[in-house]
Amino acid sequence: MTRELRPDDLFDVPDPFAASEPAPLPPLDLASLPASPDRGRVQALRLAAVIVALAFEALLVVGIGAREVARLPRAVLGYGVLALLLASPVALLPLRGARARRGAFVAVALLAGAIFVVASLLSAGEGDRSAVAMAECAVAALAMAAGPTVLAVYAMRHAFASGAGWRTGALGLASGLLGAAAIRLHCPDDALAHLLVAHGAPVLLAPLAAALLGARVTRA
Amino acid sequence: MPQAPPSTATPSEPAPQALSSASSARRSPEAARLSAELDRLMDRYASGDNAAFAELYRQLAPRLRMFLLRLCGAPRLADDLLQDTFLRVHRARGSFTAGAAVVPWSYAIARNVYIDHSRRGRDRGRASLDDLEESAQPLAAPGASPHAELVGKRTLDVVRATLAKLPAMQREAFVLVRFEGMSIAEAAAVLDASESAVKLRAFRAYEAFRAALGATGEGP
Repeated sequence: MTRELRPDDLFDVPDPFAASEPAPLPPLDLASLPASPDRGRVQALRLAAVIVALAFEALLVVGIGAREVARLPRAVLGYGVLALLLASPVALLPLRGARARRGAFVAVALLAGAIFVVASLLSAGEGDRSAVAMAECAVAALAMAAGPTVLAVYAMRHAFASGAGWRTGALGLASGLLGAAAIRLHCPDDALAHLLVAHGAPVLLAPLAAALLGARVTRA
Repeated sequence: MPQAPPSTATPSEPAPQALSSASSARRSPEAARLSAELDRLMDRYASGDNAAFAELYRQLAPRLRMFLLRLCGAPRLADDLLQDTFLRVHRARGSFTAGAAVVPWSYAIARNVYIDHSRRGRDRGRASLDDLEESAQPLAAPGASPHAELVGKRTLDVVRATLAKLPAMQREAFVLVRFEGMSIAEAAAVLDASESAVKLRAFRAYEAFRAALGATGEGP
């Protein structure tokens, strides 16, 4: 014979600590607490991190040489910005609806990947398909994603009370897409395999690295 | 100690799907008012009003201390973890989202503190026997008959021992829903899990309690 569990069933289990004497709270020495930034300073820091990340990309592109702007594929110009807009809010959503948040992150990640692949297909052309060229470009793309990833993790340190792994992964995804967009401003190689492998490396690796390593920093 | 015969009132095979947000229906207007007051205090503190922290601590610390006590089973350890929790709340205050609920946020931080402590000691799965003995409480109401006192003591001993033996995820879910009075949605937010996962974990815990108490003839 079976019956359904009623909500009140849980309340049949007595609380073994209910009879605890309400001992005085341990004293909290406010003066000894380390300085912590308030909301205004945190928001300013995050804005500064975005500006520094964009400046970092610009300096790298200028430093290693920008491609001819007139020949820059139009499709590429938009996907980095679009993906950033899509990915960033997911990491900043307030604490409610774990399944919805994770679902949104997965959807955004898939969408961002799809946008990246479609943009690569649309803009594919001639280029060097050698492994050496791919490796060199992948290293440059990863460097372009690493800076924003580190900045993002620093700006969001102690920010996530729960779900730090996937939220930090979302920051890594945004940074990886920024790196992938920035490398297109430098690299004139339009071979499809080169675009997907070398330029796609940060899109794949930055979220993983952020989730695995950065979550320790961003967890509250 | 001889075992009493199983209680005939012990229910059989309830279904986890039927478990609903029991505690939300039990929430009084007074509790909602206190919760809103806590949210306002945290919002003031996050905005830079340091004076709000002492009041926030006074109002929030007793709840968090009981939560930590129920997780770890040791009053002195719970006090240490409470201090660490408020240090992290202080550190993360700038990341507290305006308009968010401070209770699930602070519980999630307290849980992080407990998890970190347990990882250091590799004992997240269960509390030690010393801890349980340390937390022994008066178990029957003043003036209760010796028999009622004995039954109460045995029941709470069984509950305490079963709680300590539960897998961490089940214990957390059960403690939040049964003892902390959270709704399933609130517990899911704290645990960064889906509501169905929280229901299932609480149900598994309830099954364990039912088996343990049924074996002693004390219900539920």
